[in-house]
Amino acid sequence: MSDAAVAPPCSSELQRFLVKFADSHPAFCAPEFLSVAKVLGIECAIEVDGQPVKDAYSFSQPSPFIYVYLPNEAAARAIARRSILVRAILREWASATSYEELLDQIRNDPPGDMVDFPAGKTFAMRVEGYHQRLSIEYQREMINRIGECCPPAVYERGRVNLRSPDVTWCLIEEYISRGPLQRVYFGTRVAEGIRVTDHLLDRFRLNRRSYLGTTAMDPELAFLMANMACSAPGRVVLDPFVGTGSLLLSVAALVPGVQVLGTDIDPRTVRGLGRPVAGSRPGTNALTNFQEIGLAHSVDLVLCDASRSPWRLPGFTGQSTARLAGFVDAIIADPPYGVRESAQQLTQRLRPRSCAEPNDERYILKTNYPPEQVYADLVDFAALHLPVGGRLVYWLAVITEFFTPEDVPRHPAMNLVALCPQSFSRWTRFLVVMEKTREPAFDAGSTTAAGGPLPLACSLAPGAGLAAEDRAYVETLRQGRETSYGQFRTQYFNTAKNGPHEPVLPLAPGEGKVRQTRRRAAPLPDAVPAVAPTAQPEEQ
Amino acid sequence: MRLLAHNLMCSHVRGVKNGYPLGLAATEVRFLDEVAEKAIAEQMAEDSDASDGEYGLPEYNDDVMANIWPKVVYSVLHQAASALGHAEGLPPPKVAVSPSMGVDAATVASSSNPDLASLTEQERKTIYRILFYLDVVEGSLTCPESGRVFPIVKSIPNMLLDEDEV
Repeated sequence: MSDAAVAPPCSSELQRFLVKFADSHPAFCAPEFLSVAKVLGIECAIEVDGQPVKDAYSFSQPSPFIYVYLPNEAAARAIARRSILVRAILREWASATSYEELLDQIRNDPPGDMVDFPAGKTFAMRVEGYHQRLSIEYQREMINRIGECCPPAVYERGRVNLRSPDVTWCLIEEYISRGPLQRVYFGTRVAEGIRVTDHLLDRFRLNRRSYLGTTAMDPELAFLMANMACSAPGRVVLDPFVGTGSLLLSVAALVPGVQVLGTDIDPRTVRGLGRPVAGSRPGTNALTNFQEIGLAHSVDLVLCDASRSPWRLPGFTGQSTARLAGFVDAIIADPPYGVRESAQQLTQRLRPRSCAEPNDERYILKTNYPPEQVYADLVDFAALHLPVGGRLVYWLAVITEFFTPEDVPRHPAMNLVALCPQSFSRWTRFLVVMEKTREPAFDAGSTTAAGGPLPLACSLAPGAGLAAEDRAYVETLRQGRETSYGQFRTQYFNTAKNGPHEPVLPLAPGEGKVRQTRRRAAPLPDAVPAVAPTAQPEEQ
Repeated sequence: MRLLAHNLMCSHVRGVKNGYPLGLAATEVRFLDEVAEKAIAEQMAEDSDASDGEYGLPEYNDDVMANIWPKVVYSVLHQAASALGHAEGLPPPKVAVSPSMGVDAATVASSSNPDLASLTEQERKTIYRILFYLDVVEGSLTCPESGRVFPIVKSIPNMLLDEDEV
């Protein structure tokens, strides 16, 4: 990083701020920050190599200190109220690799809010260590060192108040894994993140919920998805693989007034009829968690097949040419990888309807739903239902060594915005963020299989009604091309568990291609984060 | 199932061309704001130190209403509320929807919604409450074309199709 004391010129009237992020998910910091700024309508840029870059969705660095450009302090406070990864936003006055340098900077160019400190106001000074615990004695010593360089106005006119000061100055020392001091920052704290002020992660700990499933999403990641999807009050966020509702719960909790809709094919998970998962209270279901935090009025859950859903389709209806508005603003999903939760869809084979399960759920014959198909349908569904600019945010699980960027599902009407890796030992899951760029091209007078105009619901064959070029593109997705996620289940059990040195077994009798021979690690293209997936640090 | 979800769903039975809106019948309904009020009261009675929850009671919000309004087909909402006997206080729709049959597209096109600004605050609040808080606990949804009935059990509609319907 270039010397931070020399602020680079900014294209417009934006001001430079230093953001201290949580270090749990480095690849997610920039995309989440930009997404929050987008949904709040705030102009924002991130400093990349000393230059402000507007759409730096792929920016990632190991250090959690990132410079951003925002219109004013109010914008910084608004973002801190929404972002889950922001710990604090500061107006930086000085930063250096050593204290001598830092103190020189403060002496030569005293912080603006110290020079004309208003009489009667209160202040506090905080010392924090990143990756290093600092003793009280040490903190006091550092405060004194800073105090010696401060303009006298601060002490002459101001009073110390540690509880609720009008101004808080922060001195932050950055270390890497308890090594030597890397950098020290000094600035005025403009805002604290919602995770700090509201103890958000503790309040939404999974073990506080009455209804739990085996695949409940970590609340921090679920909050991240809510922000990446640009959820907002009155907007509709849909989860087609809702399960126990852990994604939607975080969306509804983070964004008051958002409307969340979830569907799932498995009545047992949604209704709480299956074998109870440890920690679940009896008699609970996926709606219970919403009721308990007073958000039952924000959610609707529906049992249906993700590939045969009853949502009314935007577009032309019935016999007339009047257009029905779409209603889905964002789609978030954690599709089944087939490891803990198998992927299933309905089939057309006939079975007697009298085959009723207990509790009035019909017995449904399901078949396996290959991951390629799951993802192709999901992206297709998003292209049909989202408005232009609407986001699709989902997890893609791959075996790390087989992954190539071409594996990310694509659609001609959907643009890849961000691809954020979360790495485990042998496998990686990517949070994929896509944005709809245009309406899918429909053939003039296109018809469904049954003839006639497009029906209201998405009961048409996937990809039907698309113009030739779009259809060709979508069909490529479905031709069973080998992907690193398509065989994730097989690979997971062969590779992830046995370690890299075990031979990868053939996938299934008759399709015994050993993928290792075909795939080589390819560098990520510019469009995706240029970071090698690194092991996740322990959650703080 | 809230009436918002009813407004956004249509029949997806194979071969059905005009499956909107779904017929609605209920044997048990409730208002979610009343449920929340009761829950908070119980919590307070149990633990006098408890704050009134982190969320408090759901309230009317103009931004939410403005964002959701273009997505909702008001004539269908009005018809659904009437079917449940809760249409009182709702402004009349521009086009009435017959409860027993599907509607033509001109009716469902959301441009037929009354202009929000032309409604009184009380009317907006009533619509808001019916749309978000009126919850069908037990009941059914019926496809207007094929007559297929989808049950609603414990507020969750079962829209799973049988194998010969997909």
